[in-house]
Amino acid sequence: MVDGLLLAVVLGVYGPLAAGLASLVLGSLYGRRGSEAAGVAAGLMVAAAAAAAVAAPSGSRVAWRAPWPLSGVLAPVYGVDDVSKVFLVVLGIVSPLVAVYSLGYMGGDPGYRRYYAVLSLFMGSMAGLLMARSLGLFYAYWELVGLCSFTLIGHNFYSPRASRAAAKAFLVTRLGDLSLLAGLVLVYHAAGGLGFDALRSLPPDVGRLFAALASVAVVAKAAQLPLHVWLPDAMEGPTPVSALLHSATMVKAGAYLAALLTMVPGAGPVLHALALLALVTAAYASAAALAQVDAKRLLAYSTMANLGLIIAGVSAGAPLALLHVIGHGLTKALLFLAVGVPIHSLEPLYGPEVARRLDVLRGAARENPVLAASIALGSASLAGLPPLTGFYGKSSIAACLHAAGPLASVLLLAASLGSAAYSAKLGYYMLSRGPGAARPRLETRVSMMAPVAALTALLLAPPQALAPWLGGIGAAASEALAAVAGAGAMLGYYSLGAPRPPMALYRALLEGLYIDRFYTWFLGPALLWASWLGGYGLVAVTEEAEMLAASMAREAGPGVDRVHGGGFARLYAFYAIGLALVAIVVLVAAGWLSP
Amino acid sequence: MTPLAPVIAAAATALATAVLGQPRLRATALSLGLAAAGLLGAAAAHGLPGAAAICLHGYSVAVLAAALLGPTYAALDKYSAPLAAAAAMGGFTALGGGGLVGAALGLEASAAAAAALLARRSRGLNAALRYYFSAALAGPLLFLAAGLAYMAAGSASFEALSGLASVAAVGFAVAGLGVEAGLAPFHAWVPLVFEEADWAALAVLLLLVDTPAELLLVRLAAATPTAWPLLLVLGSLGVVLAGVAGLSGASTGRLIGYLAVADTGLAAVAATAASLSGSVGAPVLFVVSGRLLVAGLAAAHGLEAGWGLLTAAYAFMALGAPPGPELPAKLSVLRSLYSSSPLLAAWAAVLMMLPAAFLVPAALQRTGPRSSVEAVKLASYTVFIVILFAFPWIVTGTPP
Repeated sequence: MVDGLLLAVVLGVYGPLAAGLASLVLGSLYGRRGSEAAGVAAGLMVAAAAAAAVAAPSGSRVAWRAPWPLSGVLAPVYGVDDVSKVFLVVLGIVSPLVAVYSLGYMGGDPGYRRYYAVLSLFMGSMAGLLMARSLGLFYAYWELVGLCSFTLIGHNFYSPRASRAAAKAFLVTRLGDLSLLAGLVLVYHAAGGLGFDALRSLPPDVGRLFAALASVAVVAKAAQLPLHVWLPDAMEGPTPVSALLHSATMVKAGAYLAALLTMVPGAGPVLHALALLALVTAAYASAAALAQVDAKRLLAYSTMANLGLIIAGVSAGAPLALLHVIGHGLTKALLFLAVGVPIHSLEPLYGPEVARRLDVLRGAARENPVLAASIALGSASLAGLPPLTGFYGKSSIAACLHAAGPLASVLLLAASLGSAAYSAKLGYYMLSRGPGAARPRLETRVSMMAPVAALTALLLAPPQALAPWLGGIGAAASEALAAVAGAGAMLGYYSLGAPRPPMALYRALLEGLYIDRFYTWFLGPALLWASWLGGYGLVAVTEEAEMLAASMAREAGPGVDRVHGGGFARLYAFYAIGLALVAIVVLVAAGWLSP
Repeated sequence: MTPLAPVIAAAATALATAVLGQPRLRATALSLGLAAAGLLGAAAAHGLPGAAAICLHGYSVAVLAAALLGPTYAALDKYSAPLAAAAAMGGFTALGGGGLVGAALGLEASAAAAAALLARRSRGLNAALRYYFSAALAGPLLFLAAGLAYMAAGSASFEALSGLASVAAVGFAVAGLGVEAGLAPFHAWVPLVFEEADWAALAVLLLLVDTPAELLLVRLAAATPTAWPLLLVLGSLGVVLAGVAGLSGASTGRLIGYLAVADTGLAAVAATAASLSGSVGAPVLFVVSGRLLVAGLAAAHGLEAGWGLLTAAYAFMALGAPPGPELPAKLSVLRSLYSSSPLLAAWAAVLMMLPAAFLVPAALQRTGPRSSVEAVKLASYTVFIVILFAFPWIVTGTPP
């Protein structure tokens, strides 16, 4: 019988890891096409793995014996459950689309080998994280996801802004990683193992402490207050990376960990605090997004807000909140990829910072009907307007949070109104007929437009399938009203000529209430030094790995080919080695040379 | 029908083509003789038990394919036709003989014919010597295996290898067959021979000499449940070595040689399915389709004098693209391996992709507009390939 889960692990985890290596080797040998083929293959493998994992029965597991050091706490134990399936669905859809989109977006990039290698590793690590069934393995993939994020955010490491953003992401999330590691030590000490079963059997006081330590990791990875400062800056990475990072990987890993914490005994108080913090983050990020003038930063704050809603819903015990993982994942991937089309066209003219500005992008989506449809539907889905995917997710969260008390309702309302407003702002700028900047016609490559079109279609697809997940007519109606009100208010504001808000308020929101400045003020010198050191070191390591693979690929082929020459002596030397090899294998297989 | 019938038919063909002086007559006689031998072989296969029957049937299909190529290369010179028929005679002897001794004798005869075929051009002398001094090892190794098996079990049949006492015999038998088939690390003769030989000699070598050696490996695997680790290690080594060496951008001849080494490695990996389950259908289909396509690639490259469209088509079909029988063969092997071990199937799937790393870029970079007038001679062979894609069960003789 076909073991779907094993197939999922092999294709989803090991396949992309192999594709990452192949990207370096094939890129060195055959240039851009070699690396691109490996990257797309990795995306397709993750998609096939997600399909196989979703088809596998929930709760099924697969494990095999592995030699040291991959035994013990890093034992390869994989499995799927209903929660990981939800995250795998998004990963499986977004990964191949991002890989295909990259063909166009990264078409002229000189670092294509490194890009596709790390992108493949990123996808495989996230699939591994979602299917790991021991905390040790989970942590290994957690770190790999962080490392890949760092490398991809700092892809253009020769730009000081990109380099700093990468190091910032790495160091800020490191706080959470260290906290999670301390939690793992605690679990191992208390339960004598790191299997997921050990989590369920923890004494409540130990469970509470573990949940508190792991919550720091959730906050850092999912960019929640006060460890959110890395996410807006992470926009320095290439746009396909942003799409993957915000929809299916890095930040979603935090939400997945929050979902895992619900099975820990005694975690209740910690989860309540986490839910409150996430709701505050949602309201804060929605307000900050309103003031952004950079399209990608606006989307970054919106990710924080939506992750806040997901984490709040999951922490408050609403499994239906996971629906928003799909809704937000597809919507965010679509918006990043769609906004990336004009940015890619304008970057060579204006540079990356100016090309991302909303006033420069004004009306850009009108140049292409597919782009216009994708921005219109994507913004409406992000706002939570029915009957799009985003609406279903938010409604299911609202149903749970309204029951949690008035404070939760108020924060949720603020987040919903803000979310609708900033979505309307994005849609207004991209679709309105305005003066804009004098710019050439957009370059719309098929490889970039096809994923955009596919995601646009997906936003419309699932209402019937998801309808039973709705949390009730009241919650749905309140979310729909909030979306209409927020979007209507913002469009009304623009129809009135966009009167200027008070400068102090505007600047405070633009800079995220100056929290980032606070970091820089206190930690600035140390952070900068660590950023430089960490950034330089890790970039140097990836560059060195790339060069090593390239030189091996160039040298190994001719070397092995040359070995197949020489006279009869070499011929018989081959056969003597062969006979020795046969003898060893036969004796080992027969058990005569077993240790 | 006795398994001796195709041997006699092939021997008669060798004699007839040796005495016929007119090239057209010689070519027709070879074609008809090989076809008759192939059909007699398929009929004789029905009288044999299990794995032996399917292996002989598979070889008969390869001989039928060689019959379709026959008119093309028999016309080249007066030696090609009788030597090709002699090679087929050796192949039928090896597969119909029933044991290790028959295999050794048959392969010895095939190898001698192939070496003579390689040596008929002065440029091929070095390749012929290299090949013969390698293939000459196969006989002693197989005789050694037969002796050990006889001492352990009182029989030199493949089934006698299944006991633990025959462990060394299995090793020698695999090594002997590996030398003949080009299984790593006994493949050292392959790159130079493929570089220096002409396409006609390569086609005979691949279809009539290598195929029985690989089929005997499958038969050995089916009779020996303990042989799979050895086949897996040697097969994987072959695919990886060939994959790395193929990346060197070597000449097309060497490239086809490395493809043949990789294909033999994959055949050994496919044979592990036979070792684990005892079922030989999928590995036999893989062996025959692989040899047919590599031979087609060598022939197309020879006739087009470079990378023409047909050469590129054969290259892609050899990797598993439709409409070549390699695709159903690979899927069938993976399915068979999956039922025994999903991890093994996953590893085999990875290995199956490796040859694409060097062959696809070569096909894309080197293919250009060339006259394909000569390649029309491959029309009937290509149609046969497409028929096998549509009805792969023809190879094993077991309709679904």
